[in-house]
Amino acid sequence: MEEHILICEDSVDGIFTAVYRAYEKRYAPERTQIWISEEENLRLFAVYESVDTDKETSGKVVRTLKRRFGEKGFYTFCLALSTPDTGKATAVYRTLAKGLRLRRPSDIFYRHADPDVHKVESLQTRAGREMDHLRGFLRFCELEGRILYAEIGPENHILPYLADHFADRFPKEHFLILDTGRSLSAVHEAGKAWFLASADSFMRENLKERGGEALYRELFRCFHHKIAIEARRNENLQKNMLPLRFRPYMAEFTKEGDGRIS
Amino acid sequence: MIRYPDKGAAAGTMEKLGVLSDAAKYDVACTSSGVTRRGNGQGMGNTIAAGICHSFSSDGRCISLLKILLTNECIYDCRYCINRRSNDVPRAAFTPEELCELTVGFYRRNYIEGLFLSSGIVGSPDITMELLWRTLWLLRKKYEFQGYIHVKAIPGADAELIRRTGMLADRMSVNLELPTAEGLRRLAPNKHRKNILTPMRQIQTGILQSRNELSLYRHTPRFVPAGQSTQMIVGATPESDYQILTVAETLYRKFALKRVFYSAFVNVNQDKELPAPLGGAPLLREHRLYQADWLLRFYGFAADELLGEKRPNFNILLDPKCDWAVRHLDQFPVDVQTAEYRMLLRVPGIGVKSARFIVQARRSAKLRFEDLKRMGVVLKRAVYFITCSGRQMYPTRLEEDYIVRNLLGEKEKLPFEKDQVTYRQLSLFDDLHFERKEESEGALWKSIS
Ligand code: SF4
Repeated sequence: MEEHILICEDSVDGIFTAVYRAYEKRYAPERTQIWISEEENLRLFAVYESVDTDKETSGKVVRTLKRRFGEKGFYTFCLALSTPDTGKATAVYRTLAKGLRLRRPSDIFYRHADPDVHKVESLQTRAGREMDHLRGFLRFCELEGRILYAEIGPENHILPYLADHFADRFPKEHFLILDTGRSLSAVHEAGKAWFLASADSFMRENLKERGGEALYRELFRCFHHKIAIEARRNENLQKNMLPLRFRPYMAEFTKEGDGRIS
Repeated sequence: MIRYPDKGAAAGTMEKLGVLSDAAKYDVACTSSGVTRRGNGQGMGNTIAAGICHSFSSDGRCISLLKILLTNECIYDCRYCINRRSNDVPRAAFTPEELCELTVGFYRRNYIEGLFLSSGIVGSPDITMELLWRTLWLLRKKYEFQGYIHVKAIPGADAELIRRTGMLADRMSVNLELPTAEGLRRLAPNKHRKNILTPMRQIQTGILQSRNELSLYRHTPRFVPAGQSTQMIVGATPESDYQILTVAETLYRKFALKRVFYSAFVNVNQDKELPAPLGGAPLLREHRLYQADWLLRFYGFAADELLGEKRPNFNILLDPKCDWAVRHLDQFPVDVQTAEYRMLLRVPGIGVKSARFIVQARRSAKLRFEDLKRMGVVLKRAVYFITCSGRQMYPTRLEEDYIVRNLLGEKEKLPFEKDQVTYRQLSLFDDLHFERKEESEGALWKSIS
């Protein structure tokens, strides 16, 4: 029997559309893969199909997954799909297909010895760890017009989940979070639902910090410095806990005037 | 609502912040864990049970909360404390309003997860407690702050003040300071064991009551929802690890504490009657205590399984769990397919998460060693103690000497290694009272039996 390979866009909607197509055509999950980009070496005994993203179709899949796997299970799939791993779509597809055959689909997450489940779990852990980091390491500064502004450079596409977190935390603030690598921003207007927008929709150079922001950064640098116990100095441990790649975005590890707006 | 400090005021704030965070840094607790509270669509802030670290200081410790004193003035004279009355150090005080501004300013910029507020004793315990209460009240009511708050209960303060403060806080703590009443008498003459245990008991009772009320009326405000913690200074007084661990166990069992923190003593006052500077040995000791504390809370161990009158201190070379396992080889090996969960937890190299994974996964599959590895089991350690389908991974001997030698070959990762402190340095300190007879390998592993 030949293998089916569905090629789709690298987005939650794209991948879930492909999942729907695979179900629609009753492909056997063991003989089907979902790729988010074309591989150089085409396989001889495989049928390639490209899938166009369709929001309505992916919406159906989302509803099914939420209903059958619960919010938590659904979130597990989403986090796994936020990673840049090229095998993620196939792993998620096969895991959910195996799960849907069970009486309680979420029990699939107990099968840690299954290679697909294990893959989804480890991808989820990877993205989840970065979420945990950025929930804490992200830094806002205040722009004119009382807008909080932050820049991040995450490895995984976790901006939407971060935006959820901060929208819950700061319902009455305007905020803007820019993922510099993806040129994508999350925009939250006080009291409203946030949305994603391309970073082109605002000119980064035009953003102006409110006066007094530098003072706040100084205050935090002072605190950060004072709270350390010299006799326990341990920069290695610090590096393990707070990897260097986050630091260019953090007030306490930067000096005034390097690469900040204003 | 948020005012911007002008330049002059900001300089004042900076100075106070410097003095008052410097004075607060020896308190080790900085976690923002224990309670999940979604935002209410009003105000500002939410909390997450696992807690969030916002930064790490150059000593590698997590910075989660704005850890600060309201004032470092103090009428007491605890010998180990930098703020004691008899010290000539710069003093400062924040007004409750100033502190609220600072907390909210930091929180909005996502520098912190909330506030950890403590204070030196100004005037009297009651006056101090009331200031703490006022700060929390302002923060919650005027600034509508819903983030995390950890506040100290001041020993000797009026119970009603403590109760009201607890209604506004997420976590409360009273520091035990020293493991024994005798140590306290010697080093903190103004504090008494009873004054410390009374508010601790009050908070415990309050938490229980609040939980009961909550099951009746869903929207009653909660008292200290993230639970109570405490801290002990380790190494300033001569207690053994066994004594300290027993005290911790009592606190967990009898006072239902959420966390006990251990703080390796730093002789900030160069007090001649107190032990020498902080070096490798005290840090290792602190580390072992945290490992053992973990075993008490999550692994079902009891203090006197780990230590006893005859072996009052932890092994310098093996972590407490390995140490226990090699002394109880009669209970091993266990088969991962059938062993009880509580026994899996006792296998070196298997943690809480991997034990749970094993129990879940074995319902639908026969586990192999490679599966275990995927589930996070550290096979290099576990291999001596487990079988899969009745078989060992490779032939090993179930002999203490043999296993210890192999485990020691596997270098233990210590959080404070490489940077400053190494094993070699550790061995130079002798204030741990380890019986290190000789440097020969033989003597090393005999001393743990
Ligand atoms: S009561 Fe003792 S420990 Fe607390 S600030 Fe005063 S001197 Fe220091």
